[in-house]
Amino acid sequence: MTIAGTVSPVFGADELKSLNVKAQVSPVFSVNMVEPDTFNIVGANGKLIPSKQIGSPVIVSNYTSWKISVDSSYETSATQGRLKLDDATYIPYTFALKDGDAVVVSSFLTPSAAQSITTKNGKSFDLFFYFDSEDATVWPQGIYQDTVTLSISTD
Amino acid sequence: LVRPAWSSSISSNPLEIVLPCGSKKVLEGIMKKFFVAIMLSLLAVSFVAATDLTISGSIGQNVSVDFTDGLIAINVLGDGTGTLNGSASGFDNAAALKVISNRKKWTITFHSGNAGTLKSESLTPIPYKLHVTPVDADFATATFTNPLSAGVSLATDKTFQATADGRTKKTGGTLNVSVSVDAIGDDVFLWDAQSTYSDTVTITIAADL
Repeated sequence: MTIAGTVSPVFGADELKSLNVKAQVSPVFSVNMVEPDTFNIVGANGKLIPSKQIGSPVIVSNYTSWKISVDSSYETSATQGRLKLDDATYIPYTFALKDGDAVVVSSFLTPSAAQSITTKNGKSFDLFFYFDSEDATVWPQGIYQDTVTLSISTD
Repeated sequence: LVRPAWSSSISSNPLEIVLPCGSKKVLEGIMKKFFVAIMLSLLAVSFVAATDLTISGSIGQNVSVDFTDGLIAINVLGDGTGTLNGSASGFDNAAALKVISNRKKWTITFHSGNAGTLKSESLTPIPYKLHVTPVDADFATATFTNPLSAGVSLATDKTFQATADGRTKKTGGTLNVSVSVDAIGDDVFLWDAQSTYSDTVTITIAADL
């Protein structure tokens, strides 16, 4: 006489599972530029220097589309800003924000074309000021200054 | 033919024996032999039954995996420095993978649907690492081969193996599963802030011989 019993295997119903992994990426959006040192705006010939690289703003963005704009405290037109000595003395300048040789912005408060997502260390631009080196004005001694505001925005 | 005096004692028996007159002695001799033969037969039957009783049982294989919540949601820092350290372990979220096994040796295989990356349409995928850590109290004497303890990419399938004493309690044992993202290089493009990245990891368990 043989008495035998079996326990049915529980196998197959739970042997495979799915794990969903989801990631949200926090936004990063910043613009930074090293404060420029005071520079000599008059050359050895006694005239204004033609141009000066003011700085290299760096934008870090993980938005796929964004724009940058530039503003001046003393602009007189869409393209002309001024360095101020006092309320009566200003040195006019124009500017260009460049990406390599390409001009990205050259008018105040006019957003650039859409820019793309940047690398981890950011996208670097170059900000140039241009002066009228043919101007015969004898500029009074002093420190001329302006405050330039760089703004970035997403679409 | 005559019926012997003892014939009534066996008349109720379906086996009625009728013998020729004068053959009583012969009949008695035959009956004795017949009786002895039955007794021996019964003894023989009793002896065989006592020694042929076998009780056996088998237990079916039972190995399974399950999640309390089969979702890991992580926050990745947008500046490319990797996973947000939202907890002491450095991971924002983890899933508890419950393993039930009545086999000593088993293998769990982890397979990524996106070759170890979190994807969002056509954007640059985010490579991630999967971490698997057994809860010691649940596997006190088990021996594991676990290449996922420090986190590993699922670019190819990875396995977590119980190589000895991997049997669990009825309620199972827990493997903590978590995900991390490493920092990217300075020249690598950032991951998009406005998208959700995802992957599906398929987990299978199989008993080993």
